[in-house]
Amino acid sequence: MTLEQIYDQEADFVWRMLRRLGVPERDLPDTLQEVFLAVHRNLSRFEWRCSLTTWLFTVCRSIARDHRRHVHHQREVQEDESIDAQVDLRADVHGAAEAGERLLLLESILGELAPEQRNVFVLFEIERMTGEEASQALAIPLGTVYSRLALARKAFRQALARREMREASRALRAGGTP
Amino acid sequence: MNDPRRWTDERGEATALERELVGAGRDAGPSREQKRAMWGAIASQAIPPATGPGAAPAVGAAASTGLTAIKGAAILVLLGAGLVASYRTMRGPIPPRTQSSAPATAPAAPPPPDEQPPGVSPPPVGAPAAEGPRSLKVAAHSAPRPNALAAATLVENTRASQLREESAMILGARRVLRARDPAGALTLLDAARTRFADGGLVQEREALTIEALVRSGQRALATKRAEAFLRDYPKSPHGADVRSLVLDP
Repeated sequence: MTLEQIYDQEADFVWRMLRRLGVPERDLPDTLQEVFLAVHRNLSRFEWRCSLTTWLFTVCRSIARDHRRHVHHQREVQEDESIDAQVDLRADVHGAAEAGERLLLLESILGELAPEQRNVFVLFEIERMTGEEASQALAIPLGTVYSRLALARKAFRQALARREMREASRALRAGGTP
Repeated sequence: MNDPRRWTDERGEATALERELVGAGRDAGPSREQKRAMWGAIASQAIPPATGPGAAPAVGAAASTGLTAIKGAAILVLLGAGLVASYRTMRGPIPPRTQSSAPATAPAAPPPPDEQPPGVSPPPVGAPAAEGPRSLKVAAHSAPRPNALAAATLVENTRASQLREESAMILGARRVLRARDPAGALTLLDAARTRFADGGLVQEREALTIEALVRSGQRALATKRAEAFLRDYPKSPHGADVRSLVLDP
């Protein structure tokens, strides 16, 4: 697979992952470029023992962490922290050019989930990774992926229901129909 | 162990609204224009430049410092002028990018451990960073033929090449600006403006120029250009950034 083919196929995924890993929109072109140059440097050694998206996720995480360090200068990142504790796949899309009403609502609901549930939900349901890929990407057992996914779905549904209820109440108070 | 059925699969359990929301998360991504420009910048660093006398260094590598970046831009302008001249005359083939040339980037340090999940073997110390040219799709320019198809192909290749140069120059300027050298960035942007007056990345160039003006303390000029930008490109994806720069730097 050539770099160009990987770019064509996965640039959107990398963009979304960088966004979710905390890279501000204005820095996305530069950081995305860094990701693909890292892929270019390592492609000949990639042995396909994990999926391409799992590898890309790992590269994105590394580049995004470097970016955060650069931005915050001497801010320490705990190296011995678990990956799951370092990664928070919540994108702040407020004010972002790509944000639509649905995306804002989605991110708002994801923001109500516990980070470990949110990460699994994003990788499995939104990015359509397999359970095994999510397990490798987050360095957690497969069984944990499944249990967190079940909890995340439940929490997502509850958060959405709460939101709908709040909107209905607001409409009632305003004298409209729910 | 089999994965559970996804929510949004045909027989998944998600409601219509839940499907819509998850789909919105999946649809987010760069615009086609952004995607094309970013590939141009990546290819300009990953694909070796033309070899032979007068070949220029890769812009991405050159842009690591302000001074080097300015030199790189100047070389690019000369190289670009040569390319355009070749295209205009159409008397001979544009020199093909050869695969035997050295990689555009300097030999890279071993990647951080995070880039190496189980599927990647560690690089030998001191080994070349990558076999980039082999893994890249390099569009070899052929000699123009006396038919419309060949001419159209040549035009398209030249456009792609110019867009790549333009995006490399603008990304170089952006890096210089991020390295807190707004004056250096403005010099690079001026070079890009001269070289690509009607380029494909005018909005990106102008938005970055406005930011560089603000950072260099030329606020009145930045505001004036921002007003013109917002008037000329009312629907620009950079509009919000430009506005916030002059209103709330």
